[in-house]
Amino acid sequence: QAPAPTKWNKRNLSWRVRTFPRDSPLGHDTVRALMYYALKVWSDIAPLNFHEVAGSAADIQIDFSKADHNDGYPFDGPGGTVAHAFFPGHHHTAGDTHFDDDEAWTFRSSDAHGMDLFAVAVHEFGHAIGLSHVAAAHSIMRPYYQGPVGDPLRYGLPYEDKVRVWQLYGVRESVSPTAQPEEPPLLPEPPDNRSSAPPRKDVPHRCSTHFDAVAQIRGEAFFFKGKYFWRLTRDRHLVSLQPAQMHRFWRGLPLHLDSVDAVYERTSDHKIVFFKGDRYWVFKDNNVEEGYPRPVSDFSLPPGGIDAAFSWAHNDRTYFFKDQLYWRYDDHTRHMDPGYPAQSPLWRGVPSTLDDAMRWSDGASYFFRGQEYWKVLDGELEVAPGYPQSTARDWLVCGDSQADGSVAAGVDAAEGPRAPPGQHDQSRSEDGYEVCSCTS
Amino acid sequence: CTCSPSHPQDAFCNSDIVIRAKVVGKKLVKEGPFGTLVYTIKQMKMYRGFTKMPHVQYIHTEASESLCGLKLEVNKYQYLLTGRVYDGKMYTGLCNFVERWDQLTLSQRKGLNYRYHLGCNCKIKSCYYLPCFVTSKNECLWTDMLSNFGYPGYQSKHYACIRQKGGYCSWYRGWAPPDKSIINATDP
Repeated sequence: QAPAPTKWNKRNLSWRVRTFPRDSPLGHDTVRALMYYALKVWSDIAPLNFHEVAGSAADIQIDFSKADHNDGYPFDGPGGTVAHAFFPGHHHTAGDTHFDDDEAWTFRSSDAHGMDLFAVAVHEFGHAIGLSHVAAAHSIMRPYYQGPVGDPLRYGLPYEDKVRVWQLYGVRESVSPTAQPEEPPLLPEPPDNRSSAPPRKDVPHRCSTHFDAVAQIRGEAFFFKGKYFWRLTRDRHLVSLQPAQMHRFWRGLPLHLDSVDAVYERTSDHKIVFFKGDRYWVFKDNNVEEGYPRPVSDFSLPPGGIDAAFSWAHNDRTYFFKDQLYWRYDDHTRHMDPGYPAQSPLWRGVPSTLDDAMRWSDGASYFFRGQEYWKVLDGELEVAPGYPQSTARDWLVCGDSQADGSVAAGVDAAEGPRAPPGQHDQSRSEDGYEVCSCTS
Repeated sequence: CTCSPSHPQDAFCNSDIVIRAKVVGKKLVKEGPFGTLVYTIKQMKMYRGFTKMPHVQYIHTEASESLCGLKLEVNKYQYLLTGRVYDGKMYTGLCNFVERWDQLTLSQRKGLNYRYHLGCNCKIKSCYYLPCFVTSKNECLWTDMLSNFGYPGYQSKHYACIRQKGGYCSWYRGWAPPDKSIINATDP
């Protein structure tokens, strides 16, 4: 009389991490990468496809919550129940997966007492696609946590779990249930040498990140994050879903530069200025000028650098922002205007602290902070009605219907032929910077 | 549902209710998306929970095992049942310590009677892989998960973590109380 586990009638399932662990050493990108790999464990062998989406309509909504979290199944503090999931079905919570945020979630941790998030996620996603518990000693579907299961990129399901998922959904093409399946394809090691970093950890995801800097350069939009950037054409079309590496395109930026603070194109000579900390660089096209970096004191800016820079079309002055202050600078005379810094914001409705700002070809100014942006029409001193809006949705082709499985690994299962992910990934990031080598 | 393995002593100390009972009835009620199973029980003995609920008649658990629901046999076995009280109802589940009474070891039965209670101010620290350490004197290192036999293992079946002379908590197995003076001091 108790409900029997069911299965999904569709084969394409969307997922989303709705809430992330608080006070956790695991960053959002790491959590999402671990979810991606934990789902991939199942879709590698069964004919299921998982896609990360931004909206609230995801089949598998993933939450980290404590105690009572409005599903009728409260968590119990540290220990005890550490996660639960809803079997497939027609109920709106079907497939949803919840992790108790009172646990110490870990990944590749040297602490032998925490809970390995990947191991628990593989088990819970087993429920989310319809598997119940088994007692078999080596099954991932044993209800008791048994410690980490190893590298997410190399993990393969125990045979008893494979058989059970095959019974529900059949075998994924090209994998025979009798033959020993091949080793799962490996993804490249992270480009940085932090050994504790998860796979390609520093590759940000355009749909869930905030940006370090945004600039209009030669009429195109550039969104910078970490060591990467995305580029949009004049008519706001994203050139590639995959970001390009900053130092591969902006020749002369130091290889180890891990992010930039602000970028803008000077209206006086159309050179491009990059800010990071106390220093700045000036680029002619995509090559750095001789003699840079130089200190930001050249602009009469205080040490510590700036958050944002842009040139306001209305008065052809450059504005610099830092915390709740802003400065007005004349790029033609190379002098700071008197009376600055002043208290932000000059434009009513714009937040007092910014990630960056840019002027766009429609004459309007755009201000970015977090995952939102504000539009100020040409010559106005007030934000246009209806703002803020979503930066990801309006600029970076993300949305409720956007199937997006790329996560941190940069592998987009929804796209392209079925190449081994390792090689696939390699060629995609290759594309990423080739696409951008045509700007100048 | 994933449970953090817990030593029976921790299960005892972290439960509102610990009872020995026979399951005599079962009913599925519509509560939550997948329903709740309500077991009717005949309580034989209570080890913990006199102030919260001196007499337990019904035990609630989720119907769905992916939400930690627990299946019990009706009219077949006596069980040791542990659980928590929400809204005046006792709830149990896969992550609570529930065992057929005839499967409990002698040490576990003694533990329920008095030893586990003595150890409630000690901390049992789970170790899933090596190396692991205790970091304070009130901790016992629980290593059952490292053995080939897994959970529940030897320390679960035969030991309690009890404060010894000098204030250190350590694993205790034996037929006599560990130290008369400590017992007297902590057991009214």
